[in-house]
Amino acid sequence: MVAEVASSAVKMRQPAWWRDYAAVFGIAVVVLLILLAVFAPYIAPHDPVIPSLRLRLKPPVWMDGGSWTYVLGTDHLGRDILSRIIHGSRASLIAGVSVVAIAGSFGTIVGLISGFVGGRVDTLMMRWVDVHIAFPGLLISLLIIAVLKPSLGTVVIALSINGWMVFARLVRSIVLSARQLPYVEAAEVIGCKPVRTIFRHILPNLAAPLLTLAVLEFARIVLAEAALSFLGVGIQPPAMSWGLDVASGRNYLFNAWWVVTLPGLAITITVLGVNFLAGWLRVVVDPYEGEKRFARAVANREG
Amino acid sequence: MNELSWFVVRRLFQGLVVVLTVTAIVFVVTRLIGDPVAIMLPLDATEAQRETLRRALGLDQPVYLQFIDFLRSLFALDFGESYWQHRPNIDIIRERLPATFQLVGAGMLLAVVLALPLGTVAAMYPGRLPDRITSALSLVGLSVPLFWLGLILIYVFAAQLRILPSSGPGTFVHLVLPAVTLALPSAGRLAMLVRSSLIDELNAPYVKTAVAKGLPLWRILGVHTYVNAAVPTLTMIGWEVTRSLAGHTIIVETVFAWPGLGLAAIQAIQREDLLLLQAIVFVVALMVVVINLALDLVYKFIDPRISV
Repeated sequence: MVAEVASSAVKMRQPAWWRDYAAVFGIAVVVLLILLAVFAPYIAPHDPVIPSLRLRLKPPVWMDGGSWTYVLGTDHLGRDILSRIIHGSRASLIAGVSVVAIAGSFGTIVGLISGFVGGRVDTLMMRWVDVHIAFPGLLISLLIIAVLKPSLGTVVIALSINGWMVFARLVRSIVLSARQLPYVEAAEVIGCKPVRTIFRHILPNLAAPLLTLAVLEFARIVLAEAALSFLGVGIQPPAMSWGLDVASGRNYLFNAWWVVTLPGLAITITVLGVNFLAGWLRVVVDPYEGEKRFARAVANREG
Repeated sequence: MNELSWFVVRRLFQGLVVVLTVTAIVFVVTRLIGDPVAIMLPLDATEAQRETLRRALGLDQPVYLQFIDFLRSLFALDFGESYWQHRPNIDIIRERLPATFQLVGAGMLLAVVLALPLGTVAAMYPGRLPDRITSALSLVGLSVPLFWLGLILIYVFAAQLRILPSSGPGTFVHLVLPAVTLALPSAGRLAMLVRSSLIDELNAPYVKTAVAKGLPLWRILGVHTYVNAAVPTLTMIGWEVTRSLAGHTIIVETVFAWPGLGLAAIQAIQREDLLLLQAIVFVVALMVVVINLALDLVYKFIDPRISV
């Protein structure tokens, strides 16, 4: 027993206090992202689009020649980098939320049907998922984008087409195990209609893991949108995106590192924060994890 | 037929299904969602020109005939002419493949070489420095955009330290930065997996027995735990290789101007060369299927309990 607790403590990557700091960081990042995206025009100190050749490649404030007017410096067209980062948060947030909503709902429906109906329908759907997962998404995304025109909408479509399978798999596995639970079986035995069983008894089991997966997927989508925009097949100028800014700063990497580095840092911090949030959510929303945590704390106090 | 041949036959059949499905997706996306004629011809093309191209592409035929035709030419490895370079697409792919193989080979080798010792030491001494490096690397793999990582490496090693070339093909030195960029995130994910599967194995009763018998550490690791941790690790390596081939190389090759298949895909999009892009998607799908097939066979030899 003691050995088991010890080994599971070893398996846990970080101690509890670190996990909570990470969670605070994650929540702060997400709140900041939402605020920046919603109030971008009011927060941004300068216009993010109008070029000004006089102000080209000004360094950030902490370097020689930097000024408080352009805190993070300016890019190769003299646009304020801070303002562009603030406005660029919109593309990440919109892409992330819409893809998770579209792919999440479609995947959940497929998973519910597959898990609930079972039999041949289940086999067929899961084969489809297997095949789709086996084939790497970025190339298919490129193909879809090449056929439609590159834009935020196309990015959302392409990423949704490649993003629903994980949701379907998760939902199906939870439905399968939930149906084995005595109270669900009891509900079916006393004659609950399938719709009632699904929505009333099975769906609540889905909420916690689905939420965690949705947050994790959000992080992945932010990265994917940035990558597509970097490759020139995502958001198109004059619309703004962090990936796009990294791409346009590439040619100035050798004499103005900040043009590439700062928008990239914005992506990294966002994704890191969202991943931390997901890690914390997994623990908080799962009652079993909570119990395990309690047991661990007790065991530590006694040992 | 014995069991192994059945295994191979079934796997081959499943691989064929994957290839067919991908073909169907490519077909639907390029022919039905988009209009290849509109994409390939300039806006001011005459109706007669459109009609000629439509007929040349077989678009005046019924859809099922088009699909059969499409399949037949793909399996004959006939991908048509490149719109951009005016030569057969298969030639372009053949020309670009070696560079991509070099990149993926070097990157994945580096990732494994980094991940195995890191993951092993991290599993044996949890919480110590190697364990922290492993955690940090895996966070990098999870959160840092690949294109940005590449650019930062260029800045540090080419612009500041001036010890490595920033981009382009050429000598072995040119391969270093792209391979490292491809390897670092994979190494993080792999090291984390090696760590967790080794921890599982190190806690198993048979390891305690081996320790009690007085077996030396290298023997316990080499003969017992590594072999048992091999299946999950190989699965992950296979996954990383296919992800690299079909996704990460596109980004890394673009950042470093490395003339492989991924860069060709991006150039094909920029020049609206739909047939070339389609050919690349098909060839990569084929490679992914072959790699997965090969891995399945390897598992069968490592662990005979695995069935289809």
